Amino acid sequence: MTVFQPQNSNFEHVVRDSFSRQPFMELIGARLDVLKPGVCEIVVDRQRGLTQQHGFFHGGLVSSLADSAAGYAAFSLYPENSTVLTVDFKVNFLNPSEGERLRARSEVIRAGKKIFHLKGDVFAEKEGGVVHCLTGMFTMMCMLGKSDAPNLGRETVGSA
Amino acid sequence: MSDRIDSQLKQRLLPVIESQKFMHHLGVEITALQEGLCEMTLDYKEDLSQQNGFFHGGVIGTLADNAAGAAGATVMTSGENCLTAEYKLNFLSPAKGDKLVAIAKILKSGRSLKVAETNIYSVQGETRKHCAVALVTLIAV
Repeated sequence: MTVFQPQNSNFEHVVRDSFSRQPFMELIGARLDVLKPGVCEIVVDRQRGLTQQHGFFHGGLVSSLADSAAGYAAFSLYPENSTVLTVDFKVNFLNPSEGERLRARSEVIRAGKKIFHLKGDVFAEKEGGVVHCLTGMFTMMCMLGKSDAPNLGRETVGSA
Repeated sequence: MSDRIDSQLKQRLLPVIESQKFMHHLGVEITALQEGLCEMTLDYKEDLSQQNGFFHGGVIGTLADNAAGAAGATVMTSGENCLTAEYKLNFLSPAKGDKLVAIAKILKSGRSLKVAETNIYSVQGETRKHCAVALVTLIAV
């Protein structure tokens, strides 16, 4: 694993602040756990509202968690006054996501100026073990000069 | 070098390896073979390059796919045939160098589907650069 130097010494605050402003992450009860330069782990506890018909975590949720972990792993290496956007991702589901808690872990493989490549994995944690549920690759863009503030680039509702 | 190759596995897979004419055509060599793992090496020649003199992207895809396929074959029974269902490849940097090394590992070996990750490095002298990564789904038929 490559060790990356953050461009913004305040990255931990910037990333955690951004995470706390994501309503979707709040809705599902996700928490930003580990955060290091180029590495991010997000966890979410099982609740019925996050499952599919077999009682496993829903695949869309599993991908979302990995996407979010990848986004913030990349964002941790961005310079000041920038924000992050997913360009693409491809995931493979390896096992059903059955467990008490999901943990998404992502790390930067290559940090470019504008384009960042990451790998992401999701694990289901339960008593007696950990199951590797998803693996994938993510491409993130560094939007330099764009604020990470809410409603990035959107028209405010009602502003004709 | 030979301890990196499981000779029993190689013996079992030899008919398939031998019949892969395209690999011979390119000059691909198997440099490591173990259960769930395959490393392939390809020396540079001008025939494999694109307009900037880098290894052609298609060659990189071929190598990623094939190394994953061989890694998949190591975890299949002798009667099973290993075919690629799909793959996704990310180019990380231009593949400039004397050779390419592809290392494929099986991440999940299911009954019919296997998922592999292949990392491709370009090697120039002592320096090794990570130039591509692929996720490959293989199917046993």
